[in-house]
Amino acid sequence: MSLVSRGIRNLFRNKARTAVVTLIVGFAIAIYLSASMVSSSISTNMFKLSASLDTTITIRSAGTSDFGMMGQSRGTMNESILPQIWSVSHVSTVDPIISEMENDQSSSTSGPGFARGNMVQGMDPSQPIFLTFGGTPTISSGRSLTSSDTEAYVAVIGEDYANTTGLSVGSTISLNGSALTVVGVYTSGTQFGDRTIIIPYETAKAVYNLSGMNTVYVTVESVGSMDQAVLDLKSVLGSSYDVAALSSSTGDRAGQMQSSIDATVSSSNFGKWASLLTAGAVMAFVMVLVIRERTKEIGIMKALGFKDSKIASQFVIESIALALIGFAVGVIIAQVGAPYFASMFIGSSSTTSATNTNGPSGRLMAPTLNFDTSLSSGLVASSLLLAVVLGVVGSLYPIITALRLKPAEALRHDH
Amino acid sequence: MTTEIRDQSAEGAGLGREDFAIVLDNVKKSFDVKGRKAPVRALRGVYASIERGTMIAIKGDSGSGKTTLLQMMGALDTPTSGSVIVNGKDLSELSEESLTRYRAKTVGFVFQSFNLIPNLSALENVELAMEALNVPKSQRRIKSAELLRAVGMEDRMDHKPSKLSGGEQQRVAIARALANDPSIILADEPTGNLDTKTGKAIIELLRQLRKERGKTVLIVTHSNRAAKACDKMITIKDGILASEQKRTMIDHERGLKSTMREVLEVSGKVISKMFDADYTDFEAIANADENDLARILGDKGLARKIMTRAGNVQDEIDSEDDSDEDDEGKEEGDGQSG
Repeated sequence: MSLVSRGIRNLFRNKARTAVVTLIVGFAIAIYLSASMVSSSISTNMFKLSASLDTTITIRSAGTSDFGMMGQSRGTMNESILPQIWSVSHVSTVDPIISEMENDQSSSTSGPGFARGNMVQGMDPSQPIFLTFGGTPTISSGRSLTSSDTEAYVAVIGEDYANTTGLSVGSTISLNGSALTVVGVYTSGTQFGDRTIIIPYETAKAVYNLSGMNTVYVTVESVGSMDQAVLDLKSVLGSSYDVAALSSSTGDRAGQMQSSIDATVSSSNFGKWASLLTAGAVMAFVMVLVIRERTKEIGIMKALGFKDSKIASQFVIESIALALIGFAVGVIIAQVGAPYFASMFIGSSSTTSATNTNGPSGRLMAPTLNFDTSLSSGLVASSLLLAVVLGVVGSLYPIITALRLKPAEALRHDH
Repeated sequence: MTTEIRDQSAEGAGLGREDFAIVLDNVKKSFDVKGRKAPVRALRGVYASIERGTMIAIKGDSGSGKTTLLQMMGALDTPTSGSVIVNGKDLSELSEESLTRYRAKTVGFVFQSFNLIPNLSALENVELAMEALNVPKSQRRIKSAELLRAVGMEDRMDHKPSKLSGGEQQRVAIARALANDPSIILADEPTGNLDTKTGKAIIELLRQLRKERGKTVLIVTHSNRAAKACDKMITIKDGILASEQKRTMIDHERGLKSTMREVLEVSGKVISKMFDADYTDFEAIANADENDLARILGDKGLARKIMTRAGNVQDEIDSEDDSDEDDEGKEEGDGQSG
């Protein structure tokens, strides 16, 4: 009979105890596996989530707004602040924007749109067009602005605006006395956004006779960097400028979501380590019991001339076999109960906030966190390794203690 | 046959240590016991030389140290001082690895409670001993079966210990002890858990081993019957061999007698000096010159005490004499009147 088969056979000397231990270890490993799945799913989703969250910061002259509403003026900012903005950490894009109302006295456009007021948005033509009001514009006819349109008198107009004014690609519109050619029509699916006239930034400066932009849209790398970036921008630009997240509610939601995700990650990590610790403690405790019960047997083996290393190997093999049975039970439990275990860590709050992140800017998408509860082979392999480590660590201390006894002392031992 | 104790030891017989299976040279063993200040002295200096191929009984009461002695010989424990020399090698000089090999190869143990591994069959239990020496599995199986046949267990090889009687378990244990063909069999109360008949059969089996295989067999036992079946018997009492203890007793007695002689000699001198100074009766002592008596006795306090006691005794004698005289007078008076 080999050392290995004797070690494994010893597991069945006390079947009830082995069953209880493998169940406990199995549950602990199942929780470990589920928590690992949740952690890994969250990590996978985090990138998508961060990318989908609005990380835009707006900068305006102090006390102004985009449209001069509520008695406020549309302040113009000097372009010299742009390099200062770029110097701030975590800033990934800087978009100077000119916002003007199309229904100025100088505008020649009339119709229903006139009464409601249509916005003219001057932006870098090399960038994909976006709407400061929200929504994602797509070109329905003609083309978008391009880098070659830098100073060109061209415009992309919203479909709603085109329909009400009868304008189409190739038509001419007059803004502040300047004639611009419509090169494209976009649709964003939102009525509000479909009335904006988008023209190149430099053209807007020329048309409205401005020296700079009235809003700078800054995006930062991640939601997590938002607060710091706002603080840094405020400190760089001073009190002459208002620096704020595009939407405070977006910021709040983003913060809530981040903290919710953090809480989920930390609870799943805690669950992971707590379950491992539990499995380790159970293994160690059981091996202490087993070895204490069989100290006399260790004495017999010593009297028969077994080397300590051989005796230790037999018990370590027994412990590893116990942990491996626990592991197999754990994998089965995890496979069956993963969604249930995952819900223990995720809870309802974080999933809710994860699915309701439609912000007013429209740059926010609505990400849904999909938690993948299938066991990856990597995870199974790593937990298999962990089970082996648990087996070795659990048995090492008691067996070393028992082997320190002289054979005569071990033989005298009655459990 | 040369066995046991100091005056018949290796040196005494003109033999070297290597000529004996086992030589015990002033083996002492103490244990620290919880709750006791002084350590328990299980062995207090044992000397013995055991010839090869003999069957020796180590007899003694419970707690006399006989099992401890056997454990020292089997390297299951180490002496606090002294040497256990087996086949000419001092066990205290062997490395841990050599001791492990010694346990596997040189000695075979038979225990009172059999000490078989409960979840292994009789055959596997015997095989286990050979596994310690990495004997190939096929050889282990053949030899184990052979040994079990030799001890009369051929029909019970696949049985677990719980399915075997005490006698059968002890036979398996003996087969296991023989597995690596050791030269010495150490049996600790091998018949202790067996009925008389089975015990007798086990002792007979061990005798047979000595005879047929030339093994040196040491049996720790309470049983006179088992002890008588052996070639020699060593009796151990309070941690030393009984013969050794007797020697110590004689030494003590001799010492005491010599001291007594010295006391008497001194007393005689004192008494003689007192007689020279005419202190020959209680009255003389009671009326002695205190300083003179103190000079003779060498102690003034003692002189005063002796004078007082002598005076008291003399008074007693005087009062008894007076009452005797009164009685005589009475008797005379009575006679006269009667």
